Amino acid sequence: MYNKEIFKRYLSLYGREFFKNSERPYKKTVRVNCLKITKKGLAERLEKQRFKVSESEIPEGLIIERERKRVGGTVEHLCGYFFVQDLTSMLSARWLSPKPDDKVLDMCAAPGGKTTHLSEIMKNQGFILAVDIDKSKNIAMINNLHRMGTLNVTYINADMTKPLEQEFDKILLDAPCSASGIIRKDKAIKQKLTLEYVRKYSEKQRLLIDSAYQMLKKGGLMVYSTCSVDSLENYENAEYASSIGFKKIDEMQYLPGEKYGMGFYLSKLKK
Amino acid sequence: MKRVFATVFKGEYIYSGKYMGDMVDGKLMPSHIVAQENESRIIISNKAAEHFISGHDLDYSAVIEDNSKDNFVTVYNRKGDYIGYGIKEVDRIRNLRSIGEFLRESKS
Repeated sequence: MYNKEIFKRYLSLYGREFFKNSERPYKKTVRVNCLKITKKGLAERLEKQRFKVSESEIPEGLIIERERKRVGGTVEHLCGYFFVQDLTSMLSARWLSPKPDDKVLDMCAAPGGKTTHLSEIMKNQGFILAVDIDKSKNIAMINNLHRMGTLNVTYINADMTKPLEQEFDKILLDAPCSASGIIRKDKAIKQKLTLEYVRKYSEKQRLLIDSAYQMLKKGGLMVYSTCSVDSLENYENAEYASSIGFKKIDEMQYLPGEKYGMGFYLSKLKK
Repeated sequence: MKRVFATVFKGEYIYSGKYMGDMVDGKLMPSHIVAQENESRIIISNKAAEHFISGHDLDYSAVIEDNSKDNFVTVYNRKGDYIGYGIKEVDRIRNLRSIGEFLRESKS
C-alpha cells in the first residue's frame, strides 16, 4: 500500500500507469565485462546452461529471459565476466563516458556496479576514486572490484557531503534516493515512501551536489542520477545544481515499464 | 590478515590499484588477479571444477592436463576459466583459494 500523499502525488504526475507498471514482474539484466569476454561469447555460454538470454537496448547489456538457476551463482559470474545490473543503471557511466586518462570521482560507489563499469569504459586506465560512507558495504565492494579485475580504482570510506581537497575531470553522483523507480524489483519500498522521506533524500542530495561542485574541475562534467521518479529528487535538484553554477547539458527521466524497465533519472551537468 | 596493494595512491584506502593479495602468517596469499599470471597450470574436469570452487581439495585423478612447473599451481576448468589455485601434492591438489570465495563471502 502506498502512502496517501505519495499516491496522489504520483497519480497526478504520472497517472495510473505508474502504479500498474510498478507491479509488473521484471527481468534480470547483466552487464557484460567486455575486458574479459565478448557479449556473444557470454550469451552462448549462458545458453548452454539453459538460460534464455536476449539482446538489450544497451550494447553491453543482456536480458535474462529465463533463469534456470541463479545467474549470480554461475562460474561466469564468479570469473567476473558480467555484473548483475539494471539497464537504467548502465546509463550513468555511459552518460559520463570517461576517457582512459581521466581522473574520475564516483561519489556513492558501493557495491561497485557503476564503478566497475567506469573502469571498464576507461580500459582499466586513468584513475577512479570510489567513495562510500557505508562501511557495511565494504566486503561487497572489495569483492566486486577484485572479481571484475579492476586495476585503476581506489576505494575509501568518507562522507561525501564534505568535499575532498582534490579536483576531478569527471564526477559520477549516483545519489542515495527514495528508490521510487525500482518498486518493480523491491515492493517493500512502497511502505517507506512518504513525502517526508523523499524530502529527506532531496536535502541530502543537495549537500552532495554542493560538495561535487567544489571538487569538479572548471569545464568538468558531472552525471547526477537517482533511481527515483520524484521531481524533488530529480528535476528540482538539477535546477538547484544550475542555481549554484552548473550548466545543465541534458536530462532524462525514465519511468517503470518504459524503455529500460525501471524508473531512473539522469542529468548531465557541466561546471 | 593484511591486504596488499600495488598503488600510487597516497593516503588511507580500503582497496587501491592492483590487489596483490593478503599477508597471512608472514606469507603472501596472491589475489586472483595476480595468480592468473602464474604459468604453472593444471586443467581439471568440469565436475571437479565445481568441487574445487566449493572450497574442496582435489584428487589428482581429476587433473586432465598437467602443465605445472612447480608445486604451486593455478587451476583452470575445461573452458579455460581460471578458478583458483592450490598446492600440488603426491596424490591431490590442496585448495588454497578459489573464486567460490566471492559467493561464500557475499552470503556471510
